[in-house]
Amino acid sequence: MKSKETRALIVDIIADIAPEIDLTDTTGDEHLQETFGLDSMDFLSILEEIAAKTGVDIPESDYEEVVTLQGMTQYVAKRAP
Amino acid sequence: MTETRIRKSAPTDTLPVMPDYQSYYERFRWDDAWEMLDGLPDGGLNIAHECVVRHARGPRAGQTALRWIGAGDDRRELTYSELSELSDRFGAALRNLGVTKGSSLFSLCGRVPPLYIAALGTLKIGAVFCPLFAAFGPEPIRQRLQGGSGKVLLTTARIYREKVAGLRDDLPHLEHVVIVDALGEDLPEGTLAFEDLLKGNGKEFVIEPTGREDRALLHFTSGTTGKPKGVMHVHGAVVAHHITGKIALDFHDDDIFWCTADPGWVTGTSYGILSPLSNGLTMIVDEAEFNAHRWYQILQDEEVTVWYTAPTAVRMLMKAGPDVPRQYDLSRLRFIASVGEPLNPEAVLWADEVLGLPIHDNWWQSETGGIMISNYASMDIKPGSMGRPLPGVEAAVVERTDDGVTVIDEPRREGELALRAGWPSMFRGYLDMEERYRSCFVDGWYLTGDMAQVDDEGYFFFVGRADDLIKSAGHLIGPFEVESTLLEHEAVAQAAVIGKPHPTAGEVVKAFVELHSGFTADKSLLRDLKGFARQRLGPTVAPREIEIIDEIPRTRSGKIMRRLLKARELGEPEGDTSTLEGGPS
Repeated sequence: MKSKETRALIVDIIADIAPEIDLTDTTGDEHLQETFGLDSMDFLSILEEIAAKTGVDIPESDYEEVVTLQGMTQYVAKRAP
Repeated sequence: MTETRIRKSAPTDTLPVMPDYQSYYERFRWDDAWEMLDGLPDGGLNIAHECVVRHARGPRAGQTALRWIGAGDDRRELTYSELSELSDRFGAALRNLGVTKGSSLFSLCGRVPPLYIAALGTLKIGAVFCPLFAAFGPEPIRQRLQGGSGKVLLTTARIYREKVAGLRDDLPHLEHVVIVDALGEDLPEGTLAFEDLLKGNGKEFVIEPTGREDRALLHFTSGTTGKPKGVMHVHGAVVAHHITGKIALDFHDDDIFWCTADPGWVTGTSYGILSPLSNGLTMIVDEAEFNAHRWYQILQDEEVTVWYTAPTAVRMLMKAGPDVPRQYDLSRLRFIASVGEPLNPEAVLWADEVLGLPIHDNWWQSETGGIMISNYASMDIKPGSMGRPLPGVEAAVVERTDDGVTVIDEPRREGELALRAGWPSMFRGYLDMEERYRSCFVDGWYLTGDMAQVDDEGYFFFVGRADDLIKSAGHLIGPFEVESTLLEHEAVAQAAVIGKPHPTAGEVVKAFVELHSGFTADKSLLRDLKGFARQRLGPTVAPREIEIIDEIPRTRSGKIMRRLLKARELGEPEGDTSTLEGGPS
């Protein structure tokens, strides 16, 4: 999956789960939970939606890699068909 | 919770009955309230005597007790003297039919004058009055008439033919059916005409010498699960009906009072019949259902001074917009109160701004017989709070422990709302559920099943029914707080919140919302609503899921049926829906 496409998909998923967050002017390096106030349930919901829409399951051991929008995008883009 | 405060500065023309809450609470003795009643000559007590007989014999004899506004153009006024005489005649006719003390009369009709005459006549002979909603279908009717061994049923010809005639074989206790709206050959077979029963002479009628502890009223209340409970009340409850009208609703002698509730709901009996009559007021009864213009018209034309209504109605008035009340002169209105569900803070502030008066929320249940916690004319309002305990009532927030209950002293900590048992209008039992009744009382407290908090100034805040509380990821979330926040959004007309089972969190908050007209249910609105709630409540308490539906299911008394929404969400059986507004009939 192309990185740009993946990012758009994730931004859309986050907008469903936490619409109050504005990701348009972000670098993508911000820690999603710490910077934007997402709680762990939000985070899990985002990962569930990603799995449902792309088929990419992110195991707990890889959570460190997906704490930012950028990290999440790269992780998914690399693995999604 | 909003910490806005509506200050009660110097009163206007009318000084509140209770000018200062704290000192009144400390001074209050129930004995002083009993002194306000008349009592029967032999020392007994009868609700109907207090409500009409004593006024019919005094200076209020010629004053209008009941001003009835029909759904069409009909109107009827009954003075205290007329209402007392007609209920004497009805009582005498019941006696002639063999109806005696302890028998029960059920009503199943709309808000028409015969209902009020029959209620008082029933109480006068010491029989038990049990009001039902006219919209009930055959099954809830059968269930309640059987449970309460109804001996007499007061209803209309249409309701009888459609819903009751087919049940008669199942109702061996039902001996007489009295039809309020038909005579002669229009009368269904096997029934009596109300008008015929009133033809007799009531002059020799003597009221039954009932006492404080004799049973008087039976109210069915829908349980969260299982079959409805029959809540039993005694004649002595009238002392609470009387004094709560004065203190909580600020009744003054010349008030014109409108309680919008149907007598099929406990409010419509305690405050739609008994309390205003006991206090000698003129009460308005409107036969028709809710309509914003009609309601404002009634408030204006009938010069209503005290108005007691429900949150659902208030929210529907809000939905109709602020321009509607501006077309009417509501200057006679002095006091507004609300009960049934907690009133969201926005509604209190809306009324203060648009109607020029705040709404005084109060709290009670079928089991308590009368208002127990209330906002008062003389006391500052904290919107969202149900107020403070009625003088004569001790309330606390408690925690159940293994060997009893512990009172929670810490402000704002959640627990179960409890009342010190023994106030006069306390229920005396659930019909045929003695064990269930006993289990409501622990360590001398009546446990209400409602979760609440009390702040450092003694104001109580409703959190939710114990059964409705949502346990999400270790947090306890009350649906009311979430609903109140959603209601602050311009698109939301009604909101209901439930806990939806979730594999990780135990439960997550799910909200159902009904939109104001002019808003479209689409993805962008859903996102807007969710973001709005999350910014105000935080991600833990805000709904994780929002669904827009056409209509939030409510009971006929206006309570949101969260249990039903949850059952639908889970695809489970819907259970007892007999009290559902617009439900099966």
